Amino acid sequence: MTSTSTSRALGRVALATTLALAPWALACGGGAAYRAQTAAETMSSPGYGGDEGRWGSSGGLATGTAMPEPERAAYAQAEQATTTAVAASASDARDTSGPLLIYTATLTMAVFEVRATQVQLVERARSLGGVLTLQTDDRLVVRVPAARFDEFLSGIGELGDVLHRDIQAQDVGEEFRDVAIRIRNLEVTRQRVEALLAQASNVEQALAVQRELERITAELEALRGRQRYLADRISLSTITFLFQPMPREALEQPEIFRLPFRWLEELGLPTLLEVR
Amino acid sequence: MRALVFTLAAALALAGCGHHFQIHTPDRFVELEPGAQERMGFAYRATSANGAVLAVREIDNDRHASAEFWVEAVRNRVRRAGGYALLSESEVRSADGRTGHQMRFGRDEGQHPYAYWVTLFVTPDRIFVVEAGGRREPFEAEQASIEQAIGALRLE
Repeated sequence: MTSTSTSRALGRVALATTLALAPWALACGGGAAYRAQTAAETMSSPGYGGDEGRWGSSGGLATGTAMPEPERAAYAQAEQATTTAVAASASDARDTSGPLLIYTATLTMAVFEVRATQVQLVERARSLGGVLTLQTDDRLVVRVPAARFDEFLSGIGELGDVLHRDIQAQDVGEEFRDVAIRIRNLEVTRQRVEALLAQASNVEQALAVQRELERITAELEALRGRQRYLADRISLSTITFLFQPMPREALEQPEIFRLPFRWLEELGLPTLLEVR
Repeated sequence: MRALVFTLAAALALAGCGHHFQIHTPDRFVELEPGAQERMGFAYRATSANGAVLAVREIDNDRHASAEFWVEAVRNRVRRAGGYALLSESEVRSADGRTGHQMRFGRDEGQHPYAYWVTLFVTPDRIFVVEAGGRREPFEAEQASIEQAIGALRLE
């Protein structure tokens, strides 16, 4: 069975389960009936994206016509609160009402002493609350709080010759908010499917609902991971340094420096003991 | 005849008065022929029968470098380029009261240890380098007379 036919089958099972439970649910109260109905609608709605087994960005309960206005408003509030809280924790004092930016910079530098410059850069990053993430002979990656990004870069020129500078600010606000919405929707959906699981009348129904629950949980975890990743990227800017030794004239002073005095070269036992 | 006498006198003056130091050859040493020593850069060289050698180089300090400079130059040369081990350093005094710097080196050649001393006296115009060395055993047998000869050195 392909994933497409599996998803469709799951949708049919959910619908059948809902229909089978509907009288009981109605008897138990309007709220339960609403939840059962909505779960069925959700799984069969175009927004579900059943062919792909995933939620579309505009799908799910957020666009469901069955959601009452007060609950939708509560959703919106909760989603906004979550987005703001995560973004605020992620980006220090940055204004989260505007774009959520991931700052990255790649600087190619020519320096006299690569190792010493790397030490200075790491100290500079740490003094601003940053961390070292990679250090090789010719490459250094540090991450600094986004709020200190400009401050960190402002004095870099003093440490070497910046040959190339590539600074990017990627606005992930839309994706961040979308992920937050999808998480909230999936959480609600999961609660409803859990309710369905509790109401399953036979093993077959229970297994079908359980599988759907596992799929929702997996997708929820993936979205939470993505949210954490974005929050981390927003919170700490990534600066990559590529080092090139400063071009210079060839200089080859021998390990043993010899002064231009011939008698010094003649010192030693071989000459002294060569008696004539 | 007068010309011959003058020439001899001049030659003697050059040979005898060309150096600005006086050294007493130790009893069991023999001073080597000066001309050959000059060609090898030595102002004076003497050897014992067993191969302990004492020599003096006299170099114009025309760059007027300090004693510290020359001590360091010699130390670096002998240790780094020559591969000798510096065993000890000390101040020494010449008979006329000048302070010199003595560095005692050691070096193994094959299965034989050798001793090599370099003593520097630096004046504003000249550098006097007193070298002494040889296989350790015969050298140690003459060590006291070598120290005595260095201590008896008179510099002008």
